[in-house]
Amino acid sequence: MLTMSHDELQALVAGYALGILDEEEKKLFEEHLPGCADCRADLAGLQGVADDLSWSLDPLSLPEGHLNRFRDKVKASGIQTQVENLQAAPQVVEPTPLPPVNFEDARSRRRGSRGSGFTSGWLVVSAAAVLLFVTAAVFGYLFLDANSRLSSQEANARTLAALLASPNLKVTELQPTNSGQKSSARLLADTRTNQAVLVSQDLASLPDDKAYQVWLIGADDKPQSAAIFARNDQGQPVVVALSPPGAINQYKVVAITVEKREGSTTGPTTNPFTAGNIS
Amino acid sequence: MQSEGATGEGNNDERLLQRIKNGDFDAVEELYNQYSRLAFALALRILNDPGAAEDAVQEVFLRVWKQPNSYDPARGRFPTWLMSVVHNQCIDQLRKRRHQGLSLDQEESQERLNYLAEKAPALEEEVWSKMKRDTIRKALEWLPDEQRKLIELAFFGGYTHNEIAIHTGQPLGTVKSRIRQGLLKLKNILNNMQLESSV
Repeated sequence: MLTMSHDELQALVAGYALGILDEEEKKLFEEHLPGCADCRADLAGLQGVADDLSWSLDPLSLPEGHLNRFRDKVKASGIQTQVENLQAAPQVVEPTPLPPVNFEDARSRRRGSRGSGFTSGWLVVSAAAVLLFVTAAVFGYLFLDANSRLSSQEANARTLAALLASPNLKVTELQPTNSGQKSSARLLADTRTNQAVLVSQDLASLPDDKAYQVWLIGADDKPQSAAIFARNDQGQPVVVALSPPGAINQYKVVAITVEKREGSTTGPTTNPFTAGNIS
Repeated sequence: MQSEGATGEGNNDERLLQRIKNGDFDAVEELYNQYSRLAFALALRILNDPGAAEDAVQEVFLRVWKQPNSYDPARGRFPTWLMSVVHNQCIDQLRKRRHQGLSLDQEESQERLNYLAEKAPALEEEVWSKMKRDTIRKALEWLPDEQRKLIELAFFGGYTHNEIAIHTGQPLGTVKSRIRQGLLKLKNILNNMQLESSV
C-alpha cells in the first residue's frame, strides 16, 4: 500500500482542490486531512481559487429543447411534483379565465400616444399599468375561484404571479394584423427564469376543431410553437403559460395563429391575426 | 441587475432549495434557468460534446431535485457547490471515456468550435458575473505560461498529476510543484484585485 510523508501529502493539496487526484492519492489525502491543521489551512486557501476557475467561462445557451428534456427526465425519475404541467411543448394548455378588464383603455392610450408602431419607452410606461390591472385581475380571480379551478389553471396563474413579482419582467404588446380585429394580447416574460405567459382578451370564438397557437420567432425567422390553447368561454381574459423552446431573449417576434385543435407541428398554416416585436 | 452567482442571489437560492425540499418543481426550474448556462459552459469545456454536456448538467440538477439535502452549505454558497458537482460529474465521465480508449485530442473539437460559434451567450449581460469572469481571466493571463497550462490541463482536462507528467514530459514533482505554485499565485493575484474567491 502506498504511504506518503507529510510533505508529499501537502504537495497533493492543490491537486485535491482541483479534483484531479487518482483514487489512491485521494484516499490517502482524505485520511490525512482531519489530523493535519496545516493541510486543512492550505486547502481552505486553495479551494476557493480552484472553484473560481469555473467562473472564468462565458455562460452558454444549452441546445434547443433542453428544458423539455430536463422535464422529461424529472418525470421519468418518478419523483412526484406539486406541479402537474411538466409536459413537452407543443401542448394544449388550459387557459385561465380572468374577470373582464378594460383593455380598451390601454388601446386608446396606445393610439393616442404613438400610432401603430412599437417603442420600448411605451412598453416601459405601460408595464406599470399592466402590472396593476393584471395583478388586480389575477388576485381577484385567485381569491374568488381558487378552490374550483383545475391545477393547470392554478399553475398558469402562479406563473403569472411569479412574473409580476419579477424585477426582470419584460412586456410585449401584440397588435392585431388587421384593423377590424379587437382582440388584445400581451406577452409577459422573465428573461432570467425563462418563464413567459400570454394574457389575452376578446379572442374570437372558434369552431370545436380549432385552437389558438402561439409562436415565437427568432433571428432565423423560423416560428417555434410555444403553446396551444382552446378558446375560452364567454370571451373573458385568459392567461396561458408558454413553454419557450429556447431562451426567451433569443426571440424577436411573438405571434398567434388559428390552427387545428391539436396544433400544427410543421409551422403556422394560417396568417397570424396578432403579433408583436419582443423588445 | 441580478446575475449568476451575484451576492444578492444567496438568500434566493436558499429559498428555492427550501421550496425544492417541499416538492415544488418550479423552484428547481428557477435554479436550472439561472445556473444551467454557466454549468453548461463548464461541462462543454471539459467534455467537448454538447449532448454529453447537457446530460451532465441535467443529471446534476436532477440530483438537486431528488436529493436537495446533498447540497452542503459548508462547501460554500450554492452556485459554488453546484459548479464543483458539475465539475466532478464531468471529470468522472471524461475518465470513463478515457478508460474506454477514446482519444480526447480527436474528439469533435471542430464540432465544438462550430457549436460555440453558433451559440453566443444571451444578449443580456449580467454585470457582476462578467466582472468576475474578466477578473479571473486577467489573473490567469498573469500566471506564467507553464503554470497556467498545467492548471488548465488539470481543471478543464481532468488529467491527474501522473497523466499530466506523461502528457507534457515534465517530471512528476515539477508538475505538482507548478500546479501548487500556480494556484497560490492565482490566489494572491485575486486577493490583490480585491475579488472574493468564494462566490
